[in-house]
Amino acid sequence: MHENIQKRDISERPRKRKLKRFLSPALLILPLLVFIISFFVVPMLYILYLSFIDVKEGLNTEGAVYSIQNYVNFFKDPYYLSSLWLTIKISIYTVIVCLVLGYPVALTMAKSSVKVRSFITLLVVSPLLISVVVRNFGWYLLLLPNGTINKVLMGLGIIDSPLKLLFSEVGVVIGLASAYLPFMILAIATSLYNIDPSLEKASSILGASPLRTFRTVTLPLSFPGIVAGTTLVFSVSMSAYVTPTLMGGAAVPVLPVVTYDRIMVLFQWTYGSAMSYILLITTLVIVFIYTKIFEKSKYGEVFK
Amino acid sequence: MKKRNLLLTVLLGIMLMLAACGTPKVPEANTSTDNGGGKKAVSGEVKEITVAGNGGKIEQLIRDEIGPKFTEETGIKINYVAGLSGEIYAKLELQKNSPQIDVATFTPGDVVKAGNADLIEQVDSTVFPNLDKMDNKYIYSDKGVPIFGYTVGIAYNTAMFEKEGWAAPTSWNDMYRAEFKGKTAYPEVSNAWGHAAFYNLGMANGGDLENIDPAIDKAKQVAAISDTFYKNSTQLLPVLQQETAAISILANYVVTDLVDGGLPIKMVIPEEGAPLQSLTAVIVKNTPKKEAAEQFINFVTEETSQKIVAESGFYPVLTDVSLPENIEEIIGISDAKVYTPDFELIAKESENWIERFAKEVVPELGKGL
Repeated sequence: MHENIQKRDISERPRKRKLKRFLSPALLILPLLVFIISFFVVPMLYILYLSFIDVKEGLNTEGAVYSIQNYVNFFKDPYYLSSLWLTIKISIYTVIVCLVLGYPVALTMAKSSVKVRSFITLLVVSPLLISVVVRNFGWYLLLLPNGTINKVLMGLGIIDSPLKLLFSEVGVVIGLASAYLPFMILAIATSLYNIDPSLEKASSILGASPLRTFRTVTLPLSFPGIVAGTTLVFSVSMSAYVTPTLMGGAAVPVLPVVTYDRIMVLFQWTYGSAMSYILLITTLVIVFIYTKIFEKSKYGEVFK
Repeated sequence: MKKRNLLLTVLLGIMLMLAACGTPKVPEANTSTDNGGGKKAVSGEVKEITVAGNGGKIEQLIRDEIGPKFTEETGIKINYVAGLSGEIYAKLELQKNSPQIDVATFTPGDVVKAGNADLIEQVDSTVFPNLDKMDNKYIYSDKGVPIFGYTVGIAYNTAMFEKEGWAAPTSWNDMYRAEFKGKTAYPEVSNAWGHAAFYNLGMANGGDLENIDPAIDKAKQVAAISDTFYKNSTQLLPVLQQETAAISILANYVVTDLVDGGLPIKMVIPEEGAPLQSLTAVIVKNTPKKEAAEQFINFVTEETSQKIVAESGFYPVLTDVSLPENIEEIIGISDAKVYTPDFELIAKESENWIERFAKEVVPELGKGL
């Protein structure tokens, strides 16, 4: 009898299995899919639709015509192009700061015991428990011309007049880097955990110095984490609004801030929509090229 | 096999997406046909009206102070939706065919825009008897009823001024006095207060609403002595509270709040004059609760409500109600020159101002520091 069942199973298996294999993941991701489609895809498509409509003010699209005027206006005006460039520049600075500050922490995490590691993880993640607005206000008060940092530096006689920390690109990069550092650390740490410790042992047995081991074994093997972390930090920095508004103000008109003003102050929804799509596409293109460069490099092997 | 499954998933996804794409249009079409049937004249049985307006002080005043009194008298509850004017405006546009908001409160510029976009009802002056008792300077449009008066002036920290031996500001041109360098906290032109200061600075120097070159020139001088321009009050107020800045551009109702918080600050109406404005209540076009909305607006413009308004640091719009003495001292306008600007023209020109300010003035920030 037992044998019998098994036989039947085998004969019907391919079809059923195929369906099953397809059905269960589909059902599992269905709630997420519905959520994403209704709250992300549909609004995004609506914004895309708006961006191709030539209406000056408001959302009344009756009698409006399709046009690419919004995009043309953007690329014709050096002010917006420089704003886009500023956004990219600040995001790149943020990525570099996060990488430089984050890598040593991730390395420490990877090398320490489980107990220490979980403690560091908690420390790294703890800033994320506080709202971004509160965190930025903290920085804001610290960085003001007569705030704590400037007062201390002036008191110690290191500087004569207050440093321009706030309302400048420096302020925005400080704010963004402190906010997104955890993402970078966790991404790199994860890839460092996956490195087989015996590889490093082998390297030192073969006579490589610790520095050389790091340079030729650990660092290349952590590239997937670096790429994940940098793209993550880059993308969120490109679209950051709260931090540049608070820490940069008028002096740092990054594209999300400019877009917000267009929509909320001038009610120019269609132009604002075009601007947000330009930002999105720029981010996607940069991230795509960046990851491709890494994958095509001689270290491409580690991404497989 | 795997490939085919993948293909199926992708196809299914695309189908879902396409199906979803259609939806945003559908409800609109439905409601518009619904609405054609006619407005429902609801009178006695309205239990609740929705009022939309800015958060913060205005919200508190309507929701916590005037609203409960209105509910007590009429049994109609106030559902207050707080948001930025841009958000409220977008809601009015999107809900055009089935309004969810009955009363909105806007600044004059937005009232003009909403009026031109046909989003709000014409005001029938016979329904609002209090309009006759109002100071004429508040009346600028037949699309809304002024409820809270305000103006924008120069505010300065009296203690810091005394310590430095600076003379109190008297003119819009004092904004860029060289001695204030690094001690300024001025809002951007996209902000309502900065906007007012901007065109008044221009007018004080021979410009007018259509010729803003003088305003741009002087604003450049303002930028040169400033660290930054502030986007909004959330950003600006801490700088004043920390006494990093000694001089700013503020609306009266914020100045009284700062004084309540213990800051030695005073508002000056410059000798060239300041624009008298009002937060204006508008009735959303085609609201089914028009009568209740009118009732509410009338209640807010009654003497009893306007006394509450005066105590909170806004100017009462009724001529018979005056500011309490202690508030008059800080923000009083009884001997100052205030005027009603041409809000229609301002609304038309402001895009140009904001663009030019961002491109020509902002790059000058901090150059003279």
